[in-house]
Amino acid sequence: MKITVHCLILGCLLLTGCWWDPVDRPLSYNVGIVDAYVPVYAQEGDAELEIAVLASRQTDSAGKIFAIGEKLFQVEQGKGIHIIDYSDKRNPKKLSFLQIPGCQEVAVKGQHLYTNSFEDLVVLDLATYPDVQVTAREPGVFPELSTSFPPQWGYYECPDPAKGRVIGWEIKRIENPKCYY
Amino acid sequence: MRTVLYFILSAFLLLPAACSKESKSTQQPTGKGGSMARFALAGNYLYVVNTTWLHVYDVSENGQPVIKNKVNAGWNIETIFAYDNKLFLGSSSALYIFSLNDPVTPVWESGVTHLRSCDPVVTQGNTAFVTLRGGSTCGGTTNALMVYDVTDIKAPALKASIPMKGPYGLGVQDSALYVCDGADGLTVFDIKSPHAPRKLQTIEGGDMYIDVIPYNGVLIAYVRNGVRFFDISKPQEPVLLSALMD
Repeated sequence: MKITVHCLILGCLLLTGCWWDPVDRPLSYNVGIVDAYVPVYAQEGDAELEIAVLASRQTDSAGKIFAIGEKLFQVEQGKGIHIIDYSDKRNPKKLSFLQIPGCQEVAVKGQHLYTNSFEDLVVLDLATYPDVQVTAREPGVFPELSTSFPPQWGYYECPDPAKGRVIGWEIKRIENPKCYY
Repeated sequence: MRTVLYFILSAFLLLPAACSKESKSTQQPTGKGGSMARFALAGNYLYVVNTTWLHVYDVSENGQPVIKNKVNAGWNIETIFAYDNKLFLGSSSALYIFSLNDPVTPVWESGVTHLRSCDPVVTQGNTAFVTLRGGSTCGGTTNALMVYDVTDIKAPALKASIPMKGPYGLGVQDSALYVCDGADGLTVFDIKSPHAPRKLQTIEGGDMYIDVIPYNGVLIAYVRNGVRFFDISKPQEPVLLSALMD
């Protein structure tokens, strides 16, 4: 049964895979000068790549949510997690911002917060908040999250791993972007 | 004799302490995630999906997850939802059900393939609700709410397919099903007859609804620019309490 299902899926993939997969496949043609997303890089040792508790910040690109007790955790895609106190449901308040580069996921059990930093599974101990400790890091659990995609589909400048980690995107007028999804 | 007395005394002294400790630990709230998560917590285990693998971690140790198992789960897995000793995995082309009779050994029970799309899943009772969203990076063109009877987890049976505009996440609370229909708003269904959801209303708020968590009488909605909180003490009649959008 499983094999049949997988064969069916494989068939679908083969039929439709060509136009679908959102991988950065270099374009073979030139699109000219266009507005396109350009990666913002950070390198090993940069403050942007550290896991840290910062002051609460504006939500720009809201992400997944997790509720526990009267706290809500909301991902800021690629950047970290907003910690929200909603004990007053008519007036929820942001408490702080957990900076976690490459973050997309969040779950909390007891005092521990489970998240990802790019492709790594990361566990944080919130017991001594606002002093938050990384208690574990499992590398490579999410291979598909090692590189990020621009917030919207369209042309974009292909990320160059040699320049560092992609921690964000900005729109710039550039010549012949080679990636598209 | 004296030792026995001391023993009895200390037992009485320790007893209340032990009880209060016990009640404190049971008071610790259990959290809840949305329908589009790659994490699912169940018991002392954390289940994590990437595109092809289901990882099982024992998280009973203090902040040190211990990998217990790694199961090949299919292709393009996007979401995981734990319910009633089962795991429901949404991929871009199928719904997979794993049983957790042994929590460290998820066993593949069945898979229902459908048209290519993005498809989070939630479950209540013996009914699984799946949304299919076509277009953009998801592939396919189908936009629908699919309802499966999963009484026999080896053979889920399609019970209803309801056209939607472009649905994302979904949540269920008693007789109400909430479906985030993207820019169209948040659609509330009556699921007293779970196999035949009846559309009650669509809450529009000029924003894009992406996922919801019904939790302790509150519906927490993830919208494009932040979150909205609804009172769902009457599950079928959500009342907007507040929005946090800055």
